[in-house]
Order: sequence, then structure tokens, then C-alpha cells
Amino acid sequence: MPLFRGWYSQDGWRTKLVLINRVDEPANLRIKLFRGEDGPLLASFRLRLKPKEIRFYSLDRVKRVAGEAGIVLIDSDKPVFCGGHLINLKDEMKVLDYRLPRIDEPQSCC
Amino acid sequence: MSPEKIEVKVSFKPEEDAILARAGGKPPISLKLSDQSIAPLELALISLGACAALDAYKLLSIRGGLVDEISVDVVMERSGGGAARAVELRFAIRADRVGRREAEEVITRSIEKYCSVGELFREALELDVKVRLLKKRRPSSSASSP
Repeated sequence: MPLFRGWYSQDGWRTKLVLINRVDEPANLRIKLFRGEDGPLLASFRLRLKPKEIRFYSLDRVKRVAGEAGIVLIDSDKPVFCGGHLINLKDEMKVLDYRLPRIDEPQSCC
Repeated sequence: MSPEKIEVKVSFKPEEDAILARAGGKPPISLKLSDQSIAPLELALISLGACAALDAYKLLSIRGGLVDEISVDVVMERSGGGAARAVELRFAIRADRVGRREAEEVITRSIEKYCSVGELFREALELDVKVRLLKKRRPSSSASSP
């Protein structure tokens, strides 16, 4: 299962997640948003992407992360592309686009 | 990738009623085969529980879970003739930042795909997983100021 880790900010910024299902089957995603690096889990929700669907998901929709910034973790059961699109609220010409790196699941203990 | 060999040496001494096991250059373990000691089959179930708990810890941690403790009850069901039929792994996880459903999904997948000891059991038996999630204990605020 691919797992992706990145950074979101709703604190002076607006974050949109760019989610692309790369296969011809539906993909089930679980998205977790934390406060900072080590803070509590603020929100966790599921998304289902249709085959080959491209979706922009604005974190403005998640009230519990209003004014927050931190780690976003995305767990998917299918190969997907995950990107982050951050826009500065004071200066909309300041835009950050990045690809969430994939974290490899560890090998078995023995 | 070239095949990897894992080798252990097990010796049984009838006079001492004991089993001595060695794995590579690591310190040996010995089992006294009295009524009070752990039986070889129980040792196999301990290996399964240990492997499953370690893998569960790794997979939950990389998903942001803060895990205090994972305990696993491994229950083997045997038929009247003594043949093993199924094994149930009952996990109790004390953690924050992880939901029960997520823990259940991650652990079930870990047993099905990753756990190397689970793979040996799965060849012959049905493995069933149950997960109970407990919230982390908060440090007590009993400290009083002078």
C-alpha cells in the first residue's frame, strides 16, 4: 500500500491536495492531518477516487484544521499521485507546488 | 537477489530433559521440558505473536501512530486428534493518533502480506485477526507544588 507524507498549511496559506488515481480501478484513500510534526491527529477522513480520476481537494473543507499547519499522511490501496498546492493568502502570487514523497513500508521483523 | 539462509541448531538432551537452541553466534536459549515450561508449539505461537506485534508497531508508527504497547493473545484451535485448525490473533493496542479501523486494516494486511512467521502459519492454517484499541495512559498530575 503506498503511503505518502507531506506538509499542509491553513495558517496564512490555503492548501489543496492534488490526487490522481493512476489505475483503472477505484482507489481508496485515508487522509490524516496532524498538528505540526508531533502534535495530535486533528482530522482523518476517507476518499474514494474513480478509475483515473483527478481531484483537487481543498483543506478549507476540513474545519478542524482551520488555522493549523502540519503533517499530512495519505494511505492508498492503489498506485496514486499525491501533490500539494499551497497558496499564500496575503500574496496569491506566492504558490508552492510539490509532490508528496512516498514512504516505503518497512520489511518484516525477521 | 541471492537466496538467504537462516539456520538454527536445536539439540535435545534426554538426560537433562532440556532443549538447547542456537541461532548463528547469538546467545543460546534453553528449554527445560518439565510441566511448567513453555512447550515447543507454544514457542512457535510466541514467535508468531512477536513477529506480528513488531510488524504492527512499525506499520502504525510510520502512519503517525504513537504506540505505547501492543499485546497479542495468540489462540490456536485444535481438533480432537490434536491437529491445528486455526489461529486467532487478538491484538490490544495502546496508542494515540490512530483509529481502530485503521489499526485493524493495517494489522490484517501486515499478517497477510508482511509478517514472515505469519507466512509460515498461513500456508497450513486459517489466521484470524481481532484488534482492540486502548487510549494511551496520560501521566498522572499528582505532583504538588510546595
